[in-house]
Amino acid sequence: MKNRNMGLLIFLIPIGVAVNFVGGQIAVLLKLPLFLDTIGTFTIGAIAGPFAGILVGLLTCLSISITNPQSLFYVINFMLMGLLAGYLAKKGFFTTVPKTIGAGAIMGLIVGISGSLISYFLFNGFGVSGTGVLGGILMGSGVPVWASAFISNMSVDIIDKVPTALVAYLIIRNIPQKTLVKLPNGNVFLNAYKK
Amino acid sequence: MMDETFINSYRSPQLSKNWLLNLNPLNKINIYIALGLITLFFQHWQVNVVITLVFILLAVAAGCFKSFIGPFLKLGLVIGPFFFIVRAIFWPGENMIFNYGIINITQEGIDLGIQYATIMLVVCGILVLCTVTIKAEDLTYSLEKIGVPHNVSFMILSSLQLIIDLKDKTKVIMDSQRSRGIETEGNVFVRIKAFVPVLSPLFLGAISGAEEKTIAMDARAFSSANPNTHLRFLRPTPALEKILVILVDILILGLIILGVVL
Amino acid sequence: MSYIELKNVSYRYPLAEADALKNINYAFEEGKLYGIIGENGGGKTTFCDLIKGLIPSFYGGDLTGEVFIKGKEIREWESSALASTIGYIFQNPFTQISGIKETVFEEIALGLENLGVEREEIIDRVINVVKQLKIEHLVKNNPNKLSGGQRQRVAFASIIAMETDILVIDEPTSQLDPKGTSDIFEIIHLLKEQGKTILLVEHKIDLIAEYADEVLVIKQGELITNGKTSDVFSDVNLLNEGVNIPQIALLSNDMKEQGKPFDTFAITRSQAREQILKKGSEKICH
Repeated sequence: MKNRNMGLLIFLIPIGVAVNFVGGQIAVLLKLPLFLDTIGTFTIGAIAGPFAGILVGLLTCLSISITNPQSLFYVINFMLMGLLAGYLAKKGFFTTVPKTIGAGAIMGLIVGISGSLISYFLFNGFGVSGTGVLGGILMGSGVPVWASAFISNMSVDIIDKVPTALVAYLIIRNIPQKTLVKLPNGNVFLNAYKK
Repeated sequence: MMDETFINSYRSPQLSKNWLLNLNPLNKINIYIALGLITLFFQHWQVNVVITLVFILLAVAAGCFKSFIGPFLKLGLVIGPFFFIVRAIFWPGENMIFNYGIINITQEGIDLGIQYATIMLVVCGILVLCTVTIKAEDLTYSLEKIGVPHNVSFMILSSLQLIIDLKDKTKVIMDSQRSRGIETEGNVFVRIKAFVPVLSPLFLGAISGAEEKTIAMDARAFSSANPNTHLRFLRPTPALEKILVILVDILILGLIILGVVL
Repeated sequence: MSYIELKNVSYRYPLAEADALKNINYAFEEGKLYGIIGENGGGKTTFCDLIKGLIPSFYGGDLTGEVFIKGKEIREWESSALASTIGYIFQNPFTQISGIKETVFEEIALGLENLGVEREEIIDRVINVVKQLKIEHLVKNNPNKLSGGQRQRVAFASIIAMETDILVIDEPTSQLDPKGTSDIFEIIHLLKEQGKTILLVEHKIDLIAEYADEVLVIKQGELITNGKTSDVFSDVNLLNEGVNIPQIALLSNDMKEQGKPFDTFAITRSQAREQILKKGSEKICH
């Protein structure tokens, strides 16, 4: 009989999407100076692999666009995060705290670069949220447009993605082994926990 | 007694009295996006405003003006001015109008701001129009009809439902965490510490639910290799509608070519 | 030929250090209701998952021995063919609702859509099951906004609509209130009358005594006792195995120890009432 764990992935992906939403919402309710709206992408990408991560990112972007239309233009970024989470987790990056911080920093950096490029080419260097104001202030202070775009996008992404990765790490640590064993990246975590 | 009209509603295609609402969801998206694309080829803010007005007229024609205008204004009045203001006061340019500290208002900045603010109005128009004129289940139905696997439908519809469910649960958990003495107010570190205890039961609960759901849906033949049927269905796209959509596309393509040439 | 047959079945979950099921041999017959009881964590749910074909395809791990469903080994079944042969209902009413349908009517139809059943037949089958389960008032409701008891009835309806011959029902009432529980047992009673083969895990022992034809007691992965319901419950030593015994069965046993046994060992209230009325009238006659 066919392996049915494909089914489990299909049911986990919507959870990643919904957790992205509520993570962002809780961050707002607690008035945190962070977005924390990609925890679902990080976690599901990390445990279920890059493909699942990409789908979580894509579906999150599409559903978030309804209330936040400018997100639509950053769809590549949403998917890139899932891809990176899945890839880095496979390399063992989400198994210890220091490695997780590393993963968050790497992801913040890469996503920051791609976000800056999108902002630069589509939006004159202005980010579409608070980053836009930050970029604007830099431009107003005489920093060149491209540099303003990079500094504003990247700093925000790195500051946000490291704690996001840490929360994902805490969640993954608490996922029962019997669930991990059914997931594409599960063995990476199970082997790491054994040591 | 069961409602006969309700049951019979599944025997015929889902139709409303409105011609625009009855268009195939993919055709609606086609028309909205084609209209939106015009903005990219005419770099005039006036064109963008006209297209925004067309979207409002489409909402009226669909009989959805009331449900459209609220969300549209809410979004547009935040995003439009935001896009305008950051460009107007920060964009570096030659023709200075006002300068004080980092604020640097130039004619170029204002022009760019108006241009982008109105483009964003068009984007908001497309998205809000999609949400008020297309039901998610109709969209997934028409996607399946063009060959998208029903797993994809499941993921889309399930995401939308789970967002609602988890949002409700967030409220419950936040209240119960508060009553258990976990501080959700105070300085930044106190509030950051409160984040994980709120999110993690929600997330872990959902993950363990996913295992059960896999089993439950397996019992409902979810992984069946047979092509699935549809209880609820839409009409096959009428020839007239196909012609209309093609005409709209050609017209818009013509406009775009005209715009580029001129 | 037996309907469901287990031969020397042992199973170990991945990462586990002990077997969850140990050398189980049993043959289920068509049309009977089997009660499966035993301590929590003793292997009842694993047993259900096995027969539903989730082991090892979903859980992984090591399965030895053979499981035959209608004569065909479980590992040879296609999952959709199995879905139209064995229905599965479990305790959590919330995870059994798909979350992708807008009305209860559509929710019940989902399994039939997946099987590729034609529209008119879907409508007929859904109407039929809705009437049987007396949930006409729910059909237009959003399944995501129902109470636990209502959801569980919709879960039953969704599975019953698939018209499987075998039903595996794992603690269907453990999250329900008394009203919800009696609604569900009404449904189980109906299914039994329709001649379905039912495997029922249930802690409410009086209900097992009333409905089950045969009882299997599973402890630490082993099938320690099985037999006709009245025979199994007449052995008070079961209490030492962590299994509850119906109060009425204990009463019957007390009567026996007092030297005044019932003519037949009663395990349900109605049986006991019958016996007591009979004894009473005998006394009057003397």
